[in-house]
Parts: sequence; C-alpha cells; structure tokens
Amino acid sequence: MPYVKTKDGVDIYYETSGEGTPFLFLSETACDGAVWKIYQVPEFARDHRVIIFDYRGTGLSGKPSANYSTDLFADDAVAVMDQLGLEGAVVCGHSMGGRVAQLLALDHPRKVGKLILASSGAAHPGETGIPLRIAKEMVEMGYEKYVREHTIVVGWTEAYAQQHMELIEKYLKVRMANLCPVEFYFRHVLARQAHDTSGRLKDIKIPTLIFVGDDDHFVVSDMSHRAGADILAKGIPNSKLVVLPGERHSYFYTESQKVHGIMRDFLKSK
Amino acid sequence: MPLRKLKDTEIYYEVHGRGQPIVFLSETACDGEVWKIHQVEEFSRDHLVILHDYRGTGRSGKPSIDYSTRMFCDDAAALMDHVGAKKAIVIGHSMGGRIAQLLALEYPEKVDKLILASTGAAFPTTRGLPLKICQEMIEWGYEKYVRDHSILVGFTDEFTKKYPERVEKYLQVRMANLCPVEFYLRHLIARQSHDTTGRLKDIRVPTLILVGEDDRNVTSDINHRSSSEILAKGIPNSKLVVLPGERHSYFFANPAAAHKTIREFIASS
Repeated sequence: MPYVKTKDGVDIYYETSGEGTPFLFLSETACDGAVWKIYQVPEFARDHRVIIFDYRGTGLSGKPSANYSTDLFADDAVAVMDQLGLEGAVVCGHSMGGRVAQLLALDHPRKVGKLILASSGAAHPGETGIPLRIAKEMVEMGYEKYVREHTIVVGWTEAYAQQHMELIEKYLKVRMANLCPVEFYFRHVLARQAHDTSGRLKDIKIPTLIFVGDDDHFVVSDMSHRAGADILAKGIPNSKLVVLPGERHSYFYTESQKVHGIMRDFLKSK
Repeated sequence: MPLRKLKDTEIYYEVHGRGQPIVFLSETACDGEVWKIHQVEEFSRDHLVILHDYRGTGRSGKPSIDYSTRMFCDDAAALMDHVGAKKAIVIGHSMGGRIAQLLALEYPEKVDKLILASTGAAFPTTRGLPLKICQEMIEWGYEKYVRDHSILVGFTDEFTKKYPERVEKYLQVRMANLCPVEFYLRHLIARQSHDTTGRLKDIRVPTLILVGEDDRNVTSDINHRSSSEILAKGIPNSKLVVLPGERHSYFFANPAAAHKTIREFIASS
C-alpha cells in the first residue's frame, strides 16, 4: 500500500487512479479519502490522474497525538504531490478540505491549476476551540451515533433523507468504515476552528469554482456553509459561485451527476 | 427552599449557624451540597455558613448561555447582599478559588479574609474545552468520567485503597444531583477563560493558600500545585500551606487537617 512520509515524520496513505491532469480531492473534517471512491474517482479517473489520501489522524495514515492544523493537512497533501512529482492539479476540497485547498493555492501555487471549494469557508470567526454543541452531543449520543446522525442532518434535507435513505446508507457505510478514534476527530475540529484565510482570499489568483447547497444552513459552531461560501465568492477575485438547489452538505455522495457536470464545465473553461 | 431570584436566573442557597459569615465556593460544575458532609457542621458552630449552587448546577437555574467566573462572582455577591453578609471569610475550592479571587477584587468590601484552596489564577495555554476532558467523557460516559476523575484527582491511590468508604461517601453527595453535561461543559469553558494573573497584586486581604502536596494531575495545562505557587508569589498578604500526602479533595478526605489550618488562619490577625 502506498505511503509517503511527511517532513515531520507522519506516514500518509494515498491512492492514485487514471492518467491525465492531476486531480486532488480533499475530504471534510476527520474524514479519510475513501469517500471519493464511491463516485468521484470512477468519474474523473477516466481522463485525470485522481489522487486521494487520508489526512493525518484519519484512515490508514499515522495518528500522532499532537496539535493539528489546516497548514499541516496542506503539508500532508504536498508530501503526496511531491512524492508523485505533480504540479498544476485541479484541487477539489469539501468543507474543511476546502480550507486546506485554499492554503495549497496560497502557499503552494505551482501545485494548483484550478480550485474547487465545495461547501467551505474562510474562517469560523466567532468560535475557537471545541464547540460546546459538538462536545455535548457526542457525550449525550456517543461518538459513532453522533458522527452518523450529524452526517445525515448536515448532509441532506429531511425530505431527501426520507426518499433516498438507501443512497445515504451507501455513503455512511464508507464514511463510518474506518472512523478515526474520537481524539483525532477533536484534533481535526480544533484545526478547522482555528483556520483563518479571511485576509488572504484576494491572493488566490487561480480560477476558482465555489459550490454550496442552497439549504446548507446548518450551524455547528458559528457560521453556516451557505454564508461561508458567499464570503469566499466575494473575496476570491477569479471565482464563480454555483448554488445547488435543494442540496445541503453532501451532494457529492448522493447527487454526484449534478455536480460532476458543473465541475466538467468549469474544467473546460479558461 | 431558599431561592434568590437574580435578574436572569434563580440561585439556590442555604445558611447555617451564626457569627462572622463564611462563604463556601465549590469546584467546577459542583453544587453546594458537598460542604454539608463536613464543613457546615464544623463552621456553623461559630459562623454564619453560606453555601449555594452555582447557576447550571444543583437546584439553581440553568440558563443555556455563556458562563464566566465573573458571572459566578456576581451571583455570589448578590446572594451575600440578600442574606446581609458583610466582611465574610470566603473559601473557594478549585474553580471556586478563582471566583473567590474575583470577589476580593471586584467586591473588596465584602471580603475580610480569603482562603484559596487548590486553585490558580489562569490556564495559560488552554482556552475553551480541553480535548482530554472531552475525549474521556465520550469514551467513558459522562457520569463515569466525573466519578473516576473525582477519585483520580481527589485522592491518592493509598487513600482510596485504605478508606474506600470515605471516598464513596463523598461521591454519593457529589454525584447525587449531577448537572446535565451541557452545564458541566459551560462551567469548564468559564474556568478555562478565567485569568486573574495580572491582578493578584491587587488582592489586599489576608489570604491563605492551601494545596495538597500531591495535587499534580493535569487536565489542561497547569497543575494545582504549581498554580498555588503562582498565587502565593502574586498575592502580597498571603501564606501558602502545603498539606502533606493530600491531593485535591482534602476537604472531604481529611477535613480535620484542613479545618485546623483554616481555624488558625481565621484566628490570626
């Protein structure tokens, strides 16, 4: 199995499929790379070299009991890209992955050709540290049940969940299969809450597609992804915002055909 | 049951005895009941003993808002006004000692003497909910966490082995009316945000600083043994007494030793 060691000595697990322009996918908070294998890897490996990996603290990667940051997650991605000798990649980051993607574009601009920021944001201005609501619900519900139920409520509208539970279950099976120990979930949450690129958005110069579900109004700490996406669209000069009607947070895993078309149009454009 | 209605919530309190008021302030997310195991009986003989349940604990109101040690301090001050307590001896244990510092700083006219037991001025690096606490609460469950944490932090292994019934007696009271986890977490956030480091020099009342010599457990970033040294250095008119062989909960493990030290301090001028 392919691993690369980061400069601070953490083993990062990664996979690649296909040939063509590199296409790097970055997962949400405390989520490994396996979720992209349901729909995105088969779709984009047809004409790209698709790269997925597990952030430190998740999946098959190393799990040091140290402080994490979105900068370190960007370093994890850089280690994988260096190992493979890749530059000019399409980088698609979902939620916290979108924050990591912004840092790749800002601090490693040669590595990024185009940016797709899906259901993400630049900062959580009002709340640093572990949000009370997350800790409370995890204690009350238990960790696995929290992740499962939180994923559903954040991911899809009630109406969608009622009609398409089998699609959601297919995703949850992958999402929950290799769930990281709760310590690392929190280390990821702390990293996410501390991330702040608000003042640097204007320096992201590459073409950027911003995605958000029009119903992604759920707030776990202090700002919804719907509001976070508007801030990204205003701040990043060469960006385009696409609002997905009827969607919440997890359209990649249930309504992939909807977004793949938009992504392909964006990849074709100059 | 006496409830003091404040502008946004109700505070449950009890008074016992007569004499110079003594206000007891509990540790994080702990109601006032624990003082009834040993301290009320001892000190109500010649003092007006005042204990209360912090907002978020026991029988007091539990508003779902951000808490702070300043808010707990204002609750205690309002209660002291309500019962007509002036020039009190204020004994604060752990987080209660942080509130006691604020009482001496914000309401100096209310405080005659200060006893800061197993406490500190700040958690210099950890703001917000400490990861270790969240992790253990989830892995062990909330009640088991509070129980096991109280034992580990409170009593030495030798004591727990030798006197399991004393530990159980305390735990029975501590766990009887445990607050919902939301309010435990709100108390933690309040505690972690507290910082009186720069103000210790302004505490002018005679201050006794108590700490168990073995109180070295670290849940966030500084142990009570070290933070007591910081208090002793920072507060001008203070005296540090290290209790040999004790950890965090000597009020409940070895009350005789703690009471003797406290009575000597009260008697001194």
